[in-house]
Amino acid sequence: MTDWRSVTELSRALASGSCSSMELTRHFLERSARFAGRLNAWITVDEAGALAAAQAADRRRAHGEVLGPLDGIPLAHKDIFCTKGLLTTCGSRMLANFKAPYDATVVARLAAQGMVLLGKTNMDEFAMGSSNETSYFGPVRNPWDEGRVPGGSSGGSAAVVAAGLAPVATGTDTGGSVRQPAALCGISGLKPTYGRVSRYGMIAFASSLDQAGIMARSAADIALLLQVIAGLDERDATSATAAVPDYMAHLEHPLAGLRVGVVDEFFGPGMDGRVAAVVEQATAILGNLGLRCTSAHLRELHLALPTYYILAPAEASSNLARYDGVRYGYRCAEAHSLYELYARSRSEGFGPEVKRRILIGTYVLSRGYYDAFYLQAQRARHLIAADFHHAFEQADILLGPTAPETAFALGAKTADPLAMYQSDINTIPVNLAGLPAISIPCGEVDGLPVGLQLIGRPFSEELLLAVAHRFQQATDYHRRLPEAFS
Amino acid sequence: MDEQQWGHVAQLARLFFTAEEQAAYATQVSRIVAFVGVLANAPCPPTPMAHPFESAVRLRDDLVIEGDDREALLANAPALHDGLFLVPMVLDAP
Repeated sequence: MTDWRSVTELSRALASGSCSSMELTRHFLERSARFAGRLNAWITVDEAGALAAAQAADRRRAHGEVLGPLDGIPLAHKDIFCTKGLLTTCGSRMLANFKAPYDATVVARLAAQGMVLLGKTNMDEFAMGSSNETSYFGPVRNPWDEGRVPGGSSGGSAAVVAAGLAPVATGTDTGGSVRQPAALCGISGLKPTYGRVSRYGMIAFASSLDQAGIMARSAADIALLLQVIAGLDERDATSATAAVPDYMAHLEHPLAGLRVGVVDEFFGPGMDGRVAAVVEQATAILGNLGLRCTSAHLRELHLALPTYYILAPAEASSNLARYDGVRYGYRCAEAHSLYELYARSRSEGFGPEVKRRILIGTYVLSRGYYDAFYLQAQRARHLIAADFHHAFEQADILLGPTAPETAFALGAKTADPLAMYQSDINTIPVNLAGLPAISIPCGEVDGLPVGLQLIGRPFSEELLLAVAHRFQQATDYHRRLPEAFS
Repeated sequence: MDEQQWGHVAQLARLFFTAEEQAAYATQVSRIVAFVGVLANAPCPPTPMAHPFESAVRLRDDLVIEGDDREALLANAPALHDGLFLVPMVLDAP
């Protein structure tokens, strides 16, 4: 009954007294237990903690001390966010037994609003992957077709929301890890502007690209949670000082005449023509809503993947140097020297994709190759950012398919990393430029969801959410549930 | 990457590879390096971009804001001795 309901609707139900937080929490816990073996979307389910938090929320409501619209609403966190006293594995053997001594700012802010943490979701190891198949805890399956991937790296978060095991979840996005799984699982996913949301307590992958995001059934739900997690955090030096607008109030802003640039290059080689056709239909719907859709260009788009696959591994090789088997994390048995302790702990603790990226990152940063690879990639990043800047002179938002194809079969790309990397061809440029973007469901191909990506200028989340909300008022794609879980 | 480069990079990365692993990785890594190598000929501006927004780094007052939670920090240690992290000999035996 409550599986398909949005956070907004659940919040109203709690306020009206038609259900309690305890009932909601039990409902999602029961569904999670029932479908646990089919999706493998959870790494940790915290039943006791969730029930205690729900009881506390109900008690506050009974005493007229409600903390806000999110009080008593269950949620899931991607297992990349530190949660005090609860396992935080990052999908890796390296952190399989790690319990963070503190909460991430995102976790703390949502908990302070009374949200009930159901558990931590499965993910690609250290957020490196586009299919959720690199997790030490096994692959996640797509609720729309269990023989297919949910996308990655926030595949567990996407799957729990799509299957109605949680009404909303957090994710992180370094090259598309919120938007691509949101697209493949038929939900909404926002990657905010770089710096909009604190990264304190979010395990680092590539620090100049990482950003926390929200995965939900609707844009309105995202607005509710973004309101809480956005804003300056003194604990994160990259957290932005820009004022946080009232996202819910902006949802209903008039959009007539808004200029939408449909990026030609997003429909390039490798794009499934059927996905392109669905996105073109969605563009027509936006046109019918009064938006002015015209053609736009990102002529340097072809440089984005090579640039990203130099910069992200380089930053990862540096960030992941901290895992040495000494203070926390996996430690190999019986090392005879410090070097052996480091190297064996890392070799046994990291999986193949992480090791591959560390190797590439180390190589491009090493003497003799730094200028040719790393420095040149940083220069190319300028071109890509300038490309967006020029495109935004003619358009208020940019549009295209989130991913070049619908969910692919499990195992289809694991032997070919370059083919896997192509999955993020339309999402990666956004991270390089630090822009906000949202993916919303806009149709289906052979029963599998297709995602529409909307990209905005820095700190224009309220505009993206308003356009997405208007689209979702005119369509019902975001209300569709996979049959096996409805 | 030739054999010598591979050994050097693996050593810098503090990673061990068996011969089988190396064979499996070498082809993939070489393909990826060739793929990203196309940037070499891209007409890029001279200034590198290290960060999405090139604003000045925001500094905060140099104050202690976290308490000293020694027990919590040591709780995740894989090996301890008398409340200290335990590691093998730092200097290799002669």
